[in-house]
Amino acid sequence: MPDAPGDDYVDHPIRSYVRTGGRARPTHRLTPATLLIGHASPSATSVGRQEREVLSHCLGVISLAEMAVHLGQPVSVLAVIASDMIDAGLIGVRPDSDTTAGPSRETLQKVLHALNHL
Amino acid sequence: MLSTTSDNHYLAPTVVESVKILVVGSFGVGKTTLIGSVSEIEPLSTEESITQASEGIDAVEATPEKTTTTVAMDFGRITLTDEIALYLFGTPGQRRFWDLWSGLAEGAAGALVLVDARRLEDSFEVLDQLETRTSLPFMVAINQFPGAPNYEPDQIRTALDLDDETPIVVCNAKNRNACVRALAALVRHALETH
Repeated sequence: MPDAPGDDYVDHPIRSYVRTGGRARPTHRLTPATLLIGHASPSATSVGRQEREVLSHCLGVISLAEMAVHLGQPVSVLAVIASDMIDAGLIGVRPDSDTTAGPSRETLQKVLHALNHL
Repeated sequence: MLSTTSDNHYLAPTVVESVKILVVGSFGVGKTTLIGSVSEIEPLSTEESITQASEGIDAVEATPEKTTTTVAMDFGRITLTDEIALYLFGTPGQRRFWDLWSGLAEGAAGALVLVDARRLEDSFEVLDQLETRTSLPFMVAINQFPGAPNYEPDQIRTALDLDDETPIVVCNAKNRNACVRALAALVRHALETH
């Protein structure tokens, strides 16, 4: 109740490191093109506000970068939050999305074929 | 269920794989234009805070319409098949932005280096970074600006000191078909060097 008499509380923007619990690095390797999908409902009672926000943008398959834009957060910050949510089983990762090793030859051939027919 | 705002919010549920291509080049060279030409969504922009700002460093003489510069990563996507989505990430490729794009370069299919023929020297550093700090397949696309000199690809190759194998195409970043052809050329090149 910020408007209560005598209450001089001011709502400061939350710093990124508060959202991530002070951590800068995620436990999973998530990149901007990593595809995520929610495994839990945003209305689940067991999740906090931050998790609920993420889940409300995870109702389908979505990239980390797109979700970061929708949530108004840097990709690096969301990666830390999303990583925890993966550990908690709240969201999942499409396994072949943006792998460290890069696309397989077979995938590149499919991409080329599709581009040639766009 | 589908509304105009949620239409493109999510990928098709069948998409299991994502591939990314970097679109790199100096400021004002048309990276976001190219991404917008081929993307199925309006190009999105996400900002990462990095320590260096570019204020006062960038040459704006040749691109008077570009008055502000933000260190943002613009991106778009194309769903190519039922299972594969292609992401295009536009990023300034200069050394001082390395922290921003090093993570992007990892696992990328390749990099499309967009070049303005009026400012070839602006591309030296980007190409140098790609060659020395990544093993990414890359190619050069000359964004055809009005009034730009009409160099032959061989002249560009010499001026930019490119290997004979590095493809060079002329590409109007506003033209979807030209951009798609350039991306296809890059993937073909990636397959040759895979």
